[in-house]
Amino acid sequence: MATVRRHHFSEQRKEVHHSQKKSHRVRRRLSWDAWLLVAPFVILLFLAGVVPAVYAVVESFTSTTSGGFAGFANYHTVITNFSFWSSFEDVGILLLVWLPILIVGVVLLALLIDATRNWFGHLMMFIYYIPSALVGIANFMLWMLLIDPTVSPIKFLLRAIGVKTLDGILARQSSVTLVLALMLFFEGAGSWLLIVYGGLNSISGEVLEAAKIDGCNTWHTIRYVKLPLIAPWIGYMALMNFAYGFQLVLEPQLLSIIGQGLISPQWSPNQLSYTFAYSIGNIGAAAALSIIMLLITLGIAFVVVTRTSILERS
Amino acid sequence: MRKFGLAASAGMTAIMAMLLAGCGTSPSSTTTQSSGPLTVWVDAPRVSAVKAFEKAYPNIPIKMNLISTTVSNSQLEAQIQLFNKSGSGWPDVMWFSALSNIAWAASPSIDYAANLTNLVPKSVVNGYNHDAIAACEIGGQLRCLRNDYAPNVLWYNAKLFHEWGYTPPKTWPQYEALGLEIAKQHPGYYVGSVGNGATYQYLWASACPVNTLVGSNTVKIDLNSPNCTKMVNVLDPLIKAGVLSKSPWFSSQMDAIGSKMVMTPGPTWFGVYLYEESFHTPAGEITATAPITWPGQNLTGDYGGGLWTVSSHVSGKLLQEAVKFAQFVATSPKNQVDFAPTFPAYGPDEGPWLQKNVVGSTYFADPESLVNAFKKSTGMVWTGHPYLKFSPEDIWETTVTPALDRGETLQQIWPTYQKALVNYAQEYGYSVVTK
Repeated sequence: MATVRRHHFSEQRKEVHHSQKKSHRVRRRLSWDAWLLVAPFVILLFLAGVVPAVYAVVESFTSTTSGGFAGFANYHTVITNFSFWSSFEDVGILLLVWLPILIVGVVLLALLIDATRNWFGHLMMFIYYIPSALVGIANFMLWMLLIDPTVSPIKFLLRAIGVKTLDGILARQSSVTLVLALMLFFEGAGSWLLIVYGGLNSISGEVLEAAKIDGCNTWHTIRYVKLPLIAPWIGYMALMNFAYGFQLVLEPQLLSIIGQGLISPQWSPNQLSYTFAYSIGNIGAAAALSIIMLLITLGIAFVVVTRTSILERS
Repeated sequence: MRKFGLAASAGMTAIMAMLLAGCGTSPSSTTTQSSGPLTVWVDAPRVSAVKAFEKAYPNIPIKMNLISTTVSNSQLEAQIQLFNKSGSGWPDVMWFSALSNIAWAASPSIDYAANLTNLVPKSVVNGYNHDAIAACEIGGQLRCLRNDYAPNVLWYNAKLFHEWGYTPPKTWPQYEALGLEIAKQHPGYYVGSVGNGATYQYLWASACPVNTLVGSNTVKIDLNSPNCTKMVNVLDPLIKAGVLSKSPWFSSQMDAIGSKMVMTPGPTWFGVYLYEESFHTPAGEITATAPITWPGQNLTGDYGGGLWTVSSHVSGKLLQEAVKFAQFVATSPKNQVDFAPTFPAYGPDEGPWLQKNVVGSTYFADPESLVNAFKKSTGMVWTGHPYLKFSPEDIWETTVTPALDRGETLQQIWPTYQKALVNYAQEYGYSVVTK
């Protein structure tokens, strides 16, 4: 086992060393092309990311009533709002439930497909992908039909576990979390499966063969070879989904409409921000909340990128 | 490379500068439009009103934009906020299907709904029932024209009542007694719902101060008032007995039990929209009688009713046309009697509307009783509740309904509901008094 890893590392180190030398030579010549390649992204990032963020920072320090400098008043309004902490709690609990389900589920399915590289594996891959092929709204409507015991095709199952009405599900915070987690899982699992499976596919046959020769059984190959090699893909999946879940707005909003108001319109921090902006009319407070959320996501991304090796190839 | 970098950073700096300059400008409230086609935003049931106006005034060009009937407050509000931010784009006349929108649209920070006090003749305003136009009178100014009117009456299944030998209750204690009797004698039947609409049907009908305005910006929220607790004492035993549904009106769960809804306090539009179109109760069974009241308290609640607003951003000829439009669709019998599907708020239209839609309908069981019930209910609506920027009904749905679903009693939920009302009132910038 150890030999496998050593062998792999030394190969990689050689490769890195080689490419570093090469890049020294060509850096000047490539710089134009490199700029051209990143330019579309940089321009888009600037227009759709940096500009709105700067705008939000300016707005968050502007008083909506007077238009003048507001200091930290908007931040104070947001933090002392009665829904502030509860909205973070709602989303925090959802992330704790949903992310493990997503990561374990996707990796498990990807490994299963990877282990079945024949027509059956490909068929299953297609089947697993189907829910993700539906766009968000269609997916959502499907879910509402599924969990509403008056119309659901699986109502016998729902009734068997004691669920008689849709309200019975939506009235409990715990079941709202579970419903959202499952909805999000089926919304995203198919696409992430493709990505993680792509990661598994990129593992060179030589490495796997070397592992086999060294006496690894299937479990060992997964534990010591495959998982460490696809760790960056898993890390990427975790980070992207954390950012999506943290900024959740569409799913609880739609659930609230279907549930005729059973779920608070300020369930998630982003919904609270929406309420501030469009219902209360306090754009400054909405901007302040967006900045708070931006800082949290950036902070977590920064820590993940610089202080952990999740996104690096092992 | 250096050139490219320079050009890029110069461009970006320019964009940033433009953006920052733009940040400083606040929405201009003086932007006005004085000519062009009249832009009106209506929902589908109001399209006939626009057509009626076009027929009556063929010289006024209209540009109609359809909005969803079930559009939530926040979506419309978001659009107006964006128009305010950009300083243009407002419709000249707008239909609001939720009364709670008007406090928001007339508030100084939004200022969409124009002050119509000097634009609509006094005689027109006086033609309204005072409790119908009260919703539009904000801070002494007329900010909208009410379209329809929805005081509560008592809807009941006359066929079943006749079979079972019951007479409809007149007071809340009688309602409670009959509800418990039905629970015992005819289990599985319902006498109302607390899933939604309960603030309108029960709390306002009891003059319970869930959101009473006591100063220009001060709300009284006092759920411990006897007017509230006496209603809780009626409802809790009925919830326990299982005769009050916890499902919202117009939900799949409610439709499933609709045929068992043997009576309920409810607005004037329940007959057609709930019993006929949602529950599909057969013709000849449903009728209504006078609203249930507390002895010595001749009040009822109201549930819905839309309104027309004119934009504060139009002037000149367009303003005149906008007011003419709003006045026509809200009061003219050419719309309210000939086309409007709901009970008109404008007094002179009520008689002909009842004649056409109740006496002339083949659906209702005892049209005479129904006409009398509607007539009796007008003028009885409790005006102690204004429409504010937050809706106590929405807060009922997010706090009380889930708790009822979890099996709690109203008495247990009451402190939570009080706290939630206070929180929302403060969030929307009101001062709150609780006594």
